[in-house]
Amino acid sequence: MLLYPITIPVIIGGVRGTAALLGDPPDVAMAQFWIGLLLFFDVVFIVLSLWTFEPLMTE
Amino acid sequence: MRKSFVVWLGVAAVMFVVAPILVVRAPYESTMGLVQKIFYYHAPLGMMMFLSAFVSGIAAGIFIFNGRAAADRVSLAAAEITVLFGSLVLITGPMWARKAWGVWWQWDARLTSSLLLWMIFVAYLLVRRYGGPGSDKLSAAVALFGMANVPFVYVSVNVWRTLHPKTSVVPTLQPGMREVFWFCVAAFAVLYGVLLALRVRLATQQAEVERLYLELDDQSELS
Repeated sequence: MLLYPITIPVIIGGVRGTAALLGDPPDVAMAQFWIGLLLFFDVVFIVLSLWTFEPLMTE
Repeated sequence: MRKSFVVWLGVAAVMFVVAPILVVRAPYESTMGLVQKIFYYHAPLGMMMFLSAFVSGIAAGIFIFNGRAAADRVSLAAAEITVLFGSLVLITGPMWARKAWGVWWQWDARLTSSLLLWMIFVAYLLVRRYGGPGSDKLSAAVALFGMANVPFVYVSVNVWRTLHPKTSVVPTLQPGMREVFWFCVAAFAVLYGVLLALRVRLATQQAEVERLYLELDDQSELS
Protein backbone atom coordinates (compact mmCIF):
# COMPACT_ATOMS: atom_id res chain seq x y z
CA MET A 1 0.00 0.00 0.00
CA LEU A 2 2.83 2.40 0.74
CA LEU A 3 5.57 1.37 -1.63
CA TYR A 4 3.52 0.57 -4.71
CA PRO A 5 1.80 3.94 -5.29
CA ILE A 6 4.94 5.96 -4.65
CA THR A 7 7.21 3.90 -6.89
CA ILE A 8 4.84 3.46 -9.82
CA PRO A 9 6.04 6.49 -11.85
CA VAL A 10 9.63 5.21 -11.58
CA ILE A 11 8.61 1.72 -12.66
CA ILE A 12 6.57 2.97 -15.60
CA GLY A 13 9.32 5.40 -16.59
CA GLY A 14 11.99 2.75 -16.40
CA VAL A 15 10.02 0.12 -18.28
CA ARG A 16 8.71 2.38 -21.03
CA GLY A 17 12.05 4.15 -21.42
CA THR A 18 13.92 0.86 -21.75
CA ALA A 19 11.28 -0.45 -24.14
CA ALA A 20 11.61 2.67 -26.32
CA LEU A 21 15.38 2.31 -26.41
CA LEU A 22 15.43 -1.42 -27.14
CA GLY A 23 12.71 -1.22 -29.79
CA ASP A 24 13.50 -1.57 -33.46
CA PRO A 25 14.22 1.17 -34.46
CA PRO A 26 15.12 2.72 -31.07
CA ASP A 27 12.90 5.66 -30.16
CA VAL A 28 15.55 7.99 -28.74
CA ALA A 29 13.22 10.98 -28.28
CA MET A 30 10.79 8.89 -26.20
CA ALA A 31 13.63 7.45 -24.11
CA GLN A 32 14.91 10.96 -23.47
CA PHE A 33 11.47 12.02 -22.30
CA TRP A 34 11.33 9.16 -19.79
CA ILE A 35 14.86 9.82 -18.56
CA GLY A 36 13.90 13.45 -18.07
CA LEU A 37 10.81 12.44 -16.12
CA LEU A 38 12.86 10.08 -13.94
CA LEU A 39 15.43 12.80 -13.26
CA PHE A 40 12.71 15.26 -12.34
CA PHE A 41 11.14 12.70 -10.03
CA ASP A 42 14.53 12.16 -8.38
CA VAL A 43 15.10 15.88 -7.92
CA VAL A 44 11.66 16.43 -6.34
CA PHE A 45 11.85 13.45 -4.04
CA ILE A 46 15.47 13.94 -2.94
CA VAL A 47 14.69 17.57 -2.12
CA LEU A 48 11.52 16.59 -0.23
CA SER A 49 13.32 13.82 1.65
CA LEU A 50 16.23 15.99 2.75
CA TRP A 51 13.87 18.78 3.61
CA THR A 52 11.51 16.73 5.76
CA PHE A 53 14.04 14.37 7.36
CA GLU A 54 14.97 16.61 10.24
CA PRO A 55 11.50 17.65 11.41
CA LEU A 56 10.23 14.08 10.95
CA MET A 57 13.00 12.10 12.58
CA THR A 58 13.89 14.38 15.47
CA GLU A 59 11.42 14.66 18.29
CA MET B 1 -20.24 27.77 15.50
CA ARG B 2 -22.73 24.97 15.99
CA LYS B 3 -25.47 27.01 14.35
CA SER B 4 -23.49 27.59 11.17
CA PHE B 5 -22.93 23.83 10.88
CA VAL B 6 -26.65 23.23 10.93
CA VAL B 7 -27.21 25.94 8.35
CA TRP B 8 -24.59 24.57 5.98
CA LEU B 9 -25.74 21.02 6.50
CA GLY B 10 -29.24 22.21 5.63
CA VAL B 11 -27.94 23.92 2.49
CA ALA B 12 -26.14 20.73 1.46
CA ALA B 13 -29.24 18.62 2.14
CA VAL B 14 -31.47 20.91 0.07
CA MET B 15 -28.95 20.89 -2.76
CA PHE B 16 -28.81 17.11 -2.74
CA VAL B 17 -32.60 16.92 -2.82
CA VAL B 18 -32.73 19.29 -5.81
CA ALA B 19 -29.77 17.73 -7.67
CA PRO B 20 -31.49 14.49 -8.79
CA ILE B 21 -34.45 16.47 -10.11
CA LEU B 22 -32.14 18.67 -12.16
CA VAL B 23 -30.17 15.66 -13.34
CA VAL B 24 -33.36 13.97 -14.55
CA ARG B 25 -34.43 17.10 -16.38
CA ALA B 26 -31.05 17.69 -18.02
CA PRO B 27 -30.92 16.82 -21.73
CA TYR B 28 -29.84 13.34 -22.79
CA GLU B 29 -26.40 12.95 -24.23
CA SER B 30 -26.87 11.68 -27.77
CA THR B 31 -24.44 8.74 -27.86
CA MET B 32 -24.40 7.52 -24.28
CA GLY B 33 -27.98 8.28 -23.21
CA LEU B 34 -28.98 7.57 -19.66
CA VAL B 35 -25.65 6.29 -18.40
CA GLN B 36 -24.04 9.67 -19.04
CA LYS B 37 -25.99 11.07 -16.07
CA ILE B 38 -23.70 9.37 -13.58
CA PHE B 39 -21.18 11.96 -14.70
CA TYR B 40 -23.03 14.63 -12.67
CA TYR B 41 -21.99 12.81 -9.52
CA HIS B 42 -18.81 11.18 -10.65
CA ALA B 43 -16.93 14.24 -11.88
CA PRO B 44 -17.70 16.52 -8.88
CA LEU B 45 -16.71 13.67 -6.54
CA GLY B 46 -13.45 13.31 -8.43
CA MET B 47 -12.80 17.05 -8.22
CA MET B 48 -13.47 17.07 -4.49
CA MET B 49 -11.25 14.02 -4.01
CA PHE B 50 -8.28 15.74 -5.65
CA LEU B 51 -9.00 18.98 -3.77
CA SER B 52 -9.19 17.05 -0.51
CA ALA B 53 -5.92 15.26 -1.23
CA PHE B 54 -4.17 18.56 -1.78
CA VAL B 55 -5.73 20.05 1.37
CA SER B 56 -4.45 17.04 3.29
CA GLY B 57 -0.97 17.21 1.77
CA ILE B 58 -0.57 20.94 2.35
CA ALA B 59 -1.87 20.68 5.91
CA ALA B 60 0.56 17.81 6.49
CA GLY B 61 3.40 20.00 5.23
CA ILE B 62 2.41 22.77 7.64
CA PHE B 63 2.24 20.24 10.46
CA ILE B 64 5.70 18.83 9.67
CA PHE B 65 7.38 22.23 9.64
CA ASN B 66 5.38 24.15 12.23
CA GLY B 67 4.19 21.32 14.44
CA ARG B 68 0.74 22.81 14.71
CA ALA B 69 -1.76 20.26 16.00
CA ALA B 70 -4.61 22.04 14.21
CA ALA B 71 -2.93 21.47 10.83
CA ASP B 72 -2.58 17.79 11.69
CA ARG B 73 -6.29 17.56 12.43
CA VAL B 74 -7.16 19.19 9.11
CA SER B 75 -4.81 16.79 7.36
CA LEU B 76 -6.41 13.76 9.01
CA ALA B 77 -9.93 14.97 8.29
CA ALA B 78 -9.12 15.69 4.64
CA ALA B 79 -7.42 12.30 4.27
CA GLU B 80 -10.48 10.47 5.54
CA ILE B 81 -12.73 12.39 3.17
CA THR B 82 -10.31 11.68 0.31
CA VAL B 83 -10.70 7.96 0.96
CA LEU B 84 -14.48 8.28 1.23
CA PHE B 85 -14.91 10.33 -1.96
CA GLY B 86 -12.24 8.27 -3.69
CA SER B 87 -14.17 5.08 -2.96
CA LEU B 88 -17.30 6.64 -4.45
CA VAL B 89 -15.37 7.81 -7.53
CA LEU B 90 -13.90 4.34 -7.99
CA ILE B 91 -17.37 2.79 -7.73
CA THR B 92 -19.23 5.20 -10.02
CA GLY B 93 -16.40 5.33 -12.58
CA PRO B 94 -16.43 1.64 -13.61
CA MET B 95 -20.24 1.67 -13.71
CA TRP B 96 -20.04 4.32 -16.40
CA ALA B 97 -17.01 2.77 -18.12
CA ARG B 98 -18.77 -0.58 -18.50
CA LYS B 99 -21.43 1.08 -20.63
CA ALA B 100 -19.37 3.70 -22.42
CA TRP B 101 -16.16 1.78 -23.12
CA GLY B 102 -17.42 -1.78 -22.69
CA VAL B 103 -14.88 -2.52 -19.96
CA TRP B 104 -14.98 -2.00 -16.24
CA TRP B 105 -11.44 -0.80 -15.91
CA GLN B 106 -8.65 0.58 -18.10
CA TRP B 107 -5.14 1.48 -17.00
CA ASP B 108 -5.67 4.99 -18.20
CA ALA B 109 -4.00 8.11 -16.75
CA ARG B 110 -6.90 9.45 -14.79
CA LEU B 111 -8.06 6.09 -13.51
CA THR B 112 -4.59 5.04 -12.47
CA SER B 113 -3.79 8.32 -10.76
CA SER B 114 -7.14 8.29 -8.93
CA LEU B 115 -6.59 4.72 -7.80
CA LEU B 116 -3.05 5.42 -6.62
CA LEU B 117 -4.14 8.60 -4.87
CA TRP B 118 -6.81 6.59 -3.11
CA MET B 119 -4.27 3.93 -2.15
CA ILE B 120 -1.88 6.53 -0.77
CA PHE B 121 -4.58 7.90 1.49
CA VAL B 122 -5.66 4.43 2.58
CA ALA B 123 -1.99 3.92 3.48
CA TYR B 124 -2.11 7.22 5.35
CA LEU B 125 -5.03 6.02 7.45
CA LEU B 126 -3.33 2.65 8.06
CA VAL B 127 -0.10 4.31 9.21
CA ARG B 128 -2.11 6.64 11.34
CA ARG B 129 -4.11 3.87 12.96
CA TYR B 130 -1.46 1.19 13.41
CA GLY B 131 1.79 3.18 13.26
CA GLY B 132 2.26 3.32 17.02
CA PRO B 133 3.85 6.33 18.72
CA GLY B 134 4.93 9.10 16.37
CA SER B 135 2.51 7.91 13.72
CA ASP B 136 1.10 11.42 13.32
CA LYS B 137 4.40 12.66 11.89
CA LEU B 138 4.96 9.57 9.76
CA SER B 139 1.48 9.73 8.28
CA ALA B 140 1.99 13.45 7.57
CA ALA B 141 5.02 12.41 5.52
CA VAL B 142 2.87 9.91 3.64
CA ALA B 143 0.37 12.64 2.80
CA LEU B 144 3.07 15.06 1.68
CA PHE B 145 4.98 12.54 -0.45
CA GLY B 146 1.75 11.12 -1.78
CA MET B 147 0.63 14.53 -2.92
CA ALA B 148 3.98 15.17 -4.62
CA ASN B 149 3.72 11.81 -6.34
CA VAL B 150 0.35 12.29 -8.01
CA PRO B 151 1.47 14.65 -10.84
CA PHE B 152 4.20 12.16 -11.79
CA VAL B 153 1.75 9.29 -11.97
CA TYR B 154 -0.54 11.43 -14.04
CA VAL B 155 2.11 12.53 -16.55
CA SER B 156 3.68 9.09 -16.87
CA VAL B 157 0.44 7.26 -17.53
CA ASN B 158 -0.87 10.06 -19.70
CA VAL B 159 2.06 9.74 -22.08
CA TRP B 160 1.75 5.99 -22.01
CA ARG B 161 -1.94 5.72 -22.86
CA THR B 162 -5.18 7.55 -22.27
CA LEU B 163 -8.85 6.84 -22.85
CA HIS B 164 -10.67 8.90 -20.25
CA PRO B 165 -12.63 11.92 -21.51
CA LYS B 166 -10.42 14.98 -21.34
CA THR B 167 -11.00 17.69 -18.78
CA SER B 168 -11.88 19.89 -21.73
CA VAL B 169 -15.27 18.14 -21.72
CA VAL B 170 -16.34 20.36 -18.84
CA PRO B 171 -16.16 23.82 -20.44
CA THR B 172 -17.71 22.54 -23.68
CA LEU B 173 -20.82 21.12 -22.06
CA GLN B 174 -24.16 21.96 -23.64
CA PRO B 175 -26.07 24.81 -21.96
CA GLY B 176 -28.72 22.53 -20.37
CA MET B 177 -26.06 20.26 -18.92
CA ARG B 178 -23.60 22.89 -17.82
CA GLU B 179 -25.75 24.49 -15.12
CA VAL B 180 -26.70 21.12 -13.70
CA PHE B 181 -23.09 20.05 -13.65
CA TRP B 182 -21.89 23.15 -11.82
CA PHE B 183 -24.81 22.88 -9.43
CA CYS B 184 -23.64 19.36 -8.56
CA VAL B 185 -20.08 20.60 -8.13
CA ALA B 186 -21.35 23.30 -5.76
CA ALA B 187 -23.43 20.75 -3.85
CA PHE B 188 -20.44 18.48 -3.37
CA ALA B 189 -18.24 21.43 -2.45
CA VAL B 190 -20.68 22.46 0.30
CA LEU B 191 -20.90 18.86 1.50
CA TYR B 192 -17.11 18.62 1.49
CA GLY B 193 -16.76 21.82 3.51
CA VAL B 194 -19.32 20.67 6.08
CA LEU B 195 -17.78 17.21 6.43
CA LEU B 196 -14.29 18.65 6.76
CA ALA B 197 -15.34 21.18 9.39
CA LEU B 198 -17.28 18.55 11.36
CA ARG B 199 -14.39 16.10 11.28
CA VAL B 200 -11.89 18.74 12.38
CA ARG B 201 -14.22 19.72 15.19
CA LEU B 202 -14.51 16.10 16.30
CA ALA B 203 -10.71 15.75 16.33
CA THR B 204 -10.36 18.99 18.30
CA GLN B 205 -12.85 17.79 20.87
CA GLN B 206 -11.12 14.41 21.13
CA ALA B 207 -7.83 16.18 21.82
CA GLU B 208 -9.54 18.38 24.41
CA VAL B 209 -11.08 15.38 26.18
CA GLU B 210 -7.69 13.69 26.25
CA ARG B 211 -6.07 16.78 27.71
CA LEU B 212 -8.74 17.11 30.42
CA TYR B 213 -8.43 13.43 31.21
CA LEU B 214 -4.66 13.70 31.67
CA GLU B 215 -5.13 16.80 33.80
CA LEU B 216 -7.58 14.95 36.01
CA ASP B 217 -5.16 12.06 36.27
CA ASP B 218 -2.37 14.39 37.40
CA GLN B 219 -4.59 15.99 40.01
CA SER B 220 -5.71 12.69 41.47
CA GLU B 221 -2.08 11.60 41.69
CA LEU B 222 -1.15 14.76 43.57
CA SER B 223 -3.88 14.49 46.16
